[in-house]
Amino acid sequence: MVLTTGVVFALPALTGIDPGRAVLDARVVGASPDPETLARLNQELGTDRPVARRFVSFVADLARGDLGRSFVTRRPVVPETLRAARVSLSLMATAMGVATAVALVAGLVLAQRAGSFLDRAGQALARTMVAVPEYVIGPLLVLVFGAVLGVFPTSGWATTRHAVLPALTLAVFPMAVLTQVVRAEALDVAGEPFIRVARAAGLRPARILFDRIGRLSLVSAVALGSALSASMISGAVVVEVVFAVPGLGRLLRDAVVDSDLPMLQAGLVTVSGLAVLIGIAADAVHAVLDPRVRLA
Amino acid sequence: MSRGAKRSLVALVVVAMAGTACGTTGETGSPPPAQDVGPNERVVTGGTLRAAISFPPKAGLAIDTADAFTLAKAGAVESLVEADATGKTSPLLATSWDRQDDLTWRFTLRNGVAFHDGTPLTAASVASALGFVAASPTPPRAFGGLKLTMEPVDEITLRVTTDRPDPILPLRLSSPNAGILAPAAYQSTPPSAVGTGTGPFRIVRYEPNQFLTVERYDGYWGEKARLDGAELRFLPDPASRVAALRSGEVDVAEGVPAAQVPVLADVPGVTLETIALPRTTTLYTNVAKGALAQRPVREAVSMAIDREALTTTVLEGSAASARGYFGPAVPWGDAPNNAKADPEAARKLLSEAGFAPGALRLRLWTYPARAELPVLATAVKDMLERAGIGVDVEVAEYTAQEPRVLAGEHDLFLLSRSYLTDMADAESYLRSDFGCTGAFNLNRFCDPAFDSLLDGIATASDRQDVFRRAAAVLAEGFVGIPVSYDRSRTAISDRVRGFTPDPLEHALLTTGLGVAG
Repeated sequence: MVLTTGVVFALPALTGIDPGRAVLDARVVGASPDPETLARLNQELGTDRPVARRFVSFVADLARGDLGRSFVTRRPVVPETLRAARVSLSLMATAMGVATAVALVAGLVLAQRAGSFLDRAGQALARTMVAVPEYVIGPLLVLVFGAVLGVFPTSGWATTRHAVLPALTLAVFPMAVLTQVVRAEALDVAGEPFIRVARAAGLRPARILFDRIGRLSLVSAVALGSALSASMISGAVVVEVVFAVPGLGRLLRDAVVDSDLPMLQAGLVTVSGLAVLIGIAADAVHAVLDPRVRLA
Repeated sequence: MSRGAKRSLVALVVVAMAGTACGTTGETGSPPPAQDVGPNERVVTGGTLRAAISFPPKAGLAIDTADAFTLAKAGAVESLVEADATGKTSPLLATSWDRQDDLTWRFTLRNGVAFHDGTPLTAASVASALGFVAASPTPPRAFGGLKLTMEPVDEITLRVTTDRPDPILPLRLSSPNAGILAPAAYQSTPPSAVGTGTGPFRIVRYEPNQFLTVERYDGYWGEKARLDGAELRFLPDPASRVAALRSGEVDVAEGVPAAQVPVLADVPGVTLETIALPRTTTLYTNVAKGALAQRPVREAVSMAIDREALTTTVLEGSAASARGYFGPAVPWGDAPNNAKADPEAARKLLSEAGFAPGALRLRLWTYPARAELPVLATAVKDMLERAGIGVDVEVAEYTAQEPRVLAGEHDLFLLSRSYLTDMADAESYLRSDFGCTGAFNLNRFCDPAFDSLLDGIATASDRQDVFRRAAAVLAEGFVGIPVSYDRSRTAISDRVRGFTPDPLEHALLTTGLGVAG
C-alpha cells in the first residue's frame, strides 16, 4: 500500500500530465488553457509547490487519515471513496455469492454425469465463459434482459433489481472457473474409499453428491474464490461504467480521466486495502471450512 | 466444519442469490389523471419525466463549473438574461438593462421573485452571486476575461462595472455560469444548488454520478411547469442511454451516437430529434512548420477529403458537410458544403508544390473521447492516401495529447469543438483559437491583419459581420479544414410532448414540457 501511494503521487511527473490543465478541463469543459488561469488553479490546488514539500504534506496528512480534497469536486475524498467502496463491495459480494452457488451445483452435476453429452456441453460452455470479457457480456445482457425483454433495469444502483445485471456480468468469469474446479475436485473425491463405503451403506446418491462430495469440493472453491475476488476488482471497473454503478471502479476511472490526484490516491489506497482485507476474510472462511487449516 | 457453520454458509449463499432477484421496481407511481386539450391529444398536467443525460456533474453542482449547464437543463437555476442561438437577448430575472457609459451597466430586477428556499431575490443577493463567479479561479468562459464589479443601488437595481468597454455584457450574463443562487447556497464549498435556485423546477435530491431529482416549484414567478417533476439520470455510456430508452426506463435520451441512429429508426414509439449545433469537427493544420506551411498543400488536403462520404457513412447522415468554421446553427454561419472531393486535382496541386505522389507523409492525431473521431481519422487517412499523401494516425487520450499539440508537434489534429462559449458570440473563440496570442491556437496561425480584424469587434456596429469576415479569411487560407457541422441527436419516447431541442444545449426541462396520457 505504501508503494502504491508513492507511485500514484509520482504519476503526474511520470506521465507529463499537468494536473492544473486537466482539472481546468474537468471544471470548465473546453476552456482555453490561458497561463493566468492555470497559474491561479495550480495555486489553489497546491501543485505549484516543490515536489518534496508536497510529498511531506501528503505523508503527514495521510498519517492523520486525511487524503485531502478532490481537485474537481473540491470535497474531501475519504467520504466519497468509502461510499464508492461500499457499493463495489456489495456488488462483488453479490457476484461472488451467485458465482459460488451456481458453480457448486453445476460442477457437482457435471461431475456426476462425467463423460455424458451434458458434461461435455457444460465444460465447453464454461471454457467459453472464461474467455468472454465483461465488456462483451455486459452490453449483451443489457440488450437481452433490459432493452428487449425489459425484465431488469439497464443502469443505475437505486434498488436491488438494479444489481442483477451488473452482478451477473461480474459473476460469469468466476462462475465458469469455479465450475470447472468443483467438477475436477468432485471427480477426485468420488474415487475415494470413504465414498465407496457410503454407497455400499446405502446412502442416497444425491446425499452422497451434495453432502459428502460437495462439502469437500467447496473447500477448494472457496480457496480459489478468494483469489478471484481480489481480481474481480479490475473487472468491476468495466461493469460499473457500463451499468452506471457509482462504485470504486468508476470513481477510479473518472479520477484517471480528470487527473484528480487526491481522488486517485484515495481510490488506489482503498483498493489495495480491500484486496488485503478480502484475502484475510477468505483465509478465515477457508479455516472454518477446512479443519486441516485450523490445526496447521 | 460444524453443522452451525455449514448452515451459516449455505444461508449466506442463498441470501446472495435471493438478494439479486428480489426488490421493488423503484419506479414512480402510475400516471396522474389526464386532461383533454384537443380531440386527438391528451396532454397530462402532471406526471414525471425521466431523462438520460450524457455528462454527469463532476464538481458537486458548482455554479462556476460546467455543472452549471446541468442546473440549467434541470430548469432549476436562472440568469439575469436569457439569450437564444442568434444572440437575441430577452428578460429573465432582470426585466430591463441599459448602458450608462462605456464601463457601466444598470440592471433592473424582476419584482416578487423568490428563491426555492423562500428568500427574496434582491440586488444584494445578485451582487453576491455574480461576485462569487467573477472571483472564481476558473471564471466562466462567457466572461471572456472581463473583470466585473457589482454594486446594489436599491432593492431591485444593480450596477455592474467592467474593467474595459464591453457592449455585450447582458449576453455574457445569459450564460448558465452566471446563474443566481440564494445567499445560503454560498455558505458551502462548492455552493449548493439544492433548493437555492429560482427556476420552474426545484432540486430535491442529488446523488453524485447517479441522478438528480426535481419537482415543480409552485412559487415560480412565471408560467408554472406542466410536469410534477423529473429525474435526470447520469449515464455517460451512450449505449446505456439508448438501452435505457428502449427498455422504457427513461423517456428522453440525449447524445445518441451516430451508430445507433439506424437502430433507433426501427424501434417503435421512439422519435429522434436533431438540431444543428454550434460545433464543428475540424482537421486542424499546423501552418507554422513543414509542408502544411504552404497554402497549396493545405488546399490539396482539403480537396482530397470527401466530406459527403464522411457525413453519410461514418456519421450516418447525422451531421452536415462543413465549409467554414461556423455552420448553420448561427446566423453568420455557412450552409453545408456540397463540393465534391477531387483527389486528382489534389495530386496535381501537390505536384506543383514539389511533392510527388508518396513523397509527403503527415501525422494525424486524434482522441477517443468522441467515438466517431478515430473512425473519421481512419477514413481521412484513406482519402489522403488516394491523393498521394502518406498518413500515420495516432489515437490517444486528449489530456495526454494536448500539451504536445499546443507545443506544435502535430501536423494534423482532428478535433470536435464548440465555437459558442456559452453564449451566441464568437469573439472569445476566434481570439483563443486563431489569435496570435490565443491559448488554444492549434493551427499555430498568426496574422497581424487577422488580429486587427478581431480588435475591431469591440467597436463594430455588426459583430456578426466581423465573425463572418474572420471565417472567410480562415477559409481562404485553408487555416484548418472543417469537416462536418455537428448535430445534436436526442431520442424521445412517444410519451413526451412539448420537447424543443436547444442548439445551445442549455434547456431540457422547460415549463412547456409534458407527458401524454
